[in-house]
Amino acid sequence: MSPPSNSPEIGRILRSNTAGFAVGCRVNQLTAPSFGALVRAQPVDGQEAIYGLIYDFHIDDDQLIQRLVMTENPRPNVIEDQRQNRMLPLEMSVLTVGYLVEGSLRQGFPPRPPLNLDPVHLVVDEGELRRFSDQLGYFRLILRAPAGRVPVDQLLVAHIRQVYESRGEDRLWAMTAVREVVELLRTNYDLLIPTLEALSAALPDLPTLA
Amino acid sequence: MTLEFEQLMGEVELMARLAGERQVVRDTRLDQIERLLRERAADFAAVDRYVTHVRRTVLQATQFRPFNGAAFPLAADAALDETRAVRPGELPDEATLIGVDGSQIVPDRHAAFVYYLINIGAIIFHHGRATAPEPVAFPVLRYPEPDELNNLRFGDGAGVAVERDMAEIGRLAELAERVKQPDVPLLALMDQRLLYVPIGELGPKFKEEAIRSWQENMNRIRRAGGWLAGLIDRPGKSSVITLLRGLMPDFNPDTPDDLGEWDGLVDAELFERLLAPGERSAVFVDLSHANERFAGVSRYNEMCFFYLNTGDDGHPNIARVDLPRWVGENPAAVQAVQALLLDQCRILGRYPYILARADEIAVVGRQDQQELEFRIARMMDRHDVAAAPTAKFTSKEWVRSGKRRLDQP
Repeated sequence: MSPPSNSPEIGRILRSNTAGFAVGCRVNQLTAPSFGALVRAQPVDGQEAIYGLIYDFHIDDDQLIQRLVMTENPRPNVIEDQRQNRMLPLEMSVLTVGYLVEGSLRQGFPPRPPLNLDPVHLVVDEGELRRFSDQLGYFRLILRAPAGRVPVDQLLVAHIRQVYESRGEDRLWAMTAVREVVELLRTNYDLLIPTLEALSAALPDLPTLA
Repeated sequence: MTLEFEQLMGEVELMARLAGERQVVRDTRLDQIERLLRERAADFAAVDRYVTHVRRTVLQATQFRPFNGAAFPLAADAALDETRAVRPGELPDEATLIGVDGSQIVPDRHAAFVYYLINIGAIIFHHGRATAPEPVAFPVLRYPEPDELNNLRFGDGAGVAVERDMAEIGRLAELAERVKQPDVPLLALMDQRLLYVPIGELGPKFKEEAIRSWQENMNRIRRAGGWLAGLIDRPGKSSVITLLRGLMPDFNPDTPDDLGEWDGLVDAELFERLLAPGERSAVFVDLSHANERFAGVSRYNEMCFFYLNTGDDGHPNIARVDLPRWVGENPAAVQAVQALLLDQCRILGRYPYILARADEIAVVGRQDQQELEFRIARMMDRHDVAAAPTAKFTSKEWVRSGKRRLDQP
């Protein structure tokens, strides 16, 4: 299996480690990715791929931006100048949840992290998304992410909602995902309750959550 | 070794006390100048007498006499204390603005390779339209030719500065010609004086050539149908004060630029008292040897200027705006330039947005320089050219690379 070629590029690797990576992008690339989305870092040789979930966006500023913020109603052409022409760092943080090696999709940490400047694509192909999310072992990696750095409950909820919609409002998958969350968090009541409440708000049509 | 601050604190205290006393003296003298300005604001005959005297005895004298410069109103009926705000309808609905700036990596004989770099940054701003401005950069690398074994031009920082100035106005003219649209006004803006005088130890022929080239580029902007302006923030000239001194009863006709006890005071301090936020002064003509030369080549390029308060209530900021006569004698153009400049200043507060952005595009930072020199070294290596910086250069790099105290990690 090789990754589909129709996924939009959302940026390139700034830095990485085994557990995650940071992606730098231009402002006009920022419309597609969202918090909780599944992305794929695609090393240049194309044989391997590393999957992850976006858990943070970081948009930097500088003194010029700070000055413009203080003015009343910045003009559209000045805003466009800042966004299109000035190279302000715009960064996404991604939690690694799986990888592709020798055509086989696996959930867990990859043998090697992606390298600087490897392109990163948003996973939009329904087949690819289904293949990755059919197994829910990666939820365990999400829950083990450092809570101070990764908003674990919000990330889970956002991701489950997005996959549910991308799979054509797949209620069966969503119910399985919720059961997996309950199973993984049954000893952590403090996290389970707010996560279920948030899931209930995000997916009100699911019978057992309503 | 860090500075011994304790040894200096007595001097620092004295310095602050004297600065306070100096401010009192300054204010007293400015009060006197302001009173004189109000009293003689419409004394057109006295102004005319002073200008005629300076032209006859100094500027057109057969033997050269140094003269620091003065100014007089361009319009014969303009009062010296005239102020003018932007009126409704004077800001063009649409305009094209071009801001330009330049920077350079100066030649360094201690560096590994002989070169210098000039980088011109510009931005084309479409006033009145929601489209993004267009930034452009023009980097130029200069290096010796194969038979140029004498590195003379690579040890000449002043020559490089002049070359950068020429490149700035040259690119500005080129862009003005390229983007000027019929019926849409165009303002080409620099962040320096337009009455160009090359500075440094340069040959007279080189200076003349630079001034000629500067004026030719001014002509290109005029012929393209654009307006040209140069904005000088915190200007240091005393041209109007010199004129006022010439109207004093104790004026000495033998020394028409002698400011006496007003020496050290500048026009900006005077106009800070006169101009409300957004207001400009009358348009003045620069009265100097340099401007005589400019006007002698082309009357269109005779230099005029006005002072403009780009600040706000309680925080005045006086800038001088240089305009060639072809702009200065067109009242509608002057009003549009004032309105467009203020509009630009409002984006960031007190300084035109396009000049701030042009500077950002042009500036070559330390990191860029290191990256360029790394690439040069790599390419030289490919061509088997070996070189190394001098020991002095290397040592300075080490000691200036940042220091930390031993008790800090």
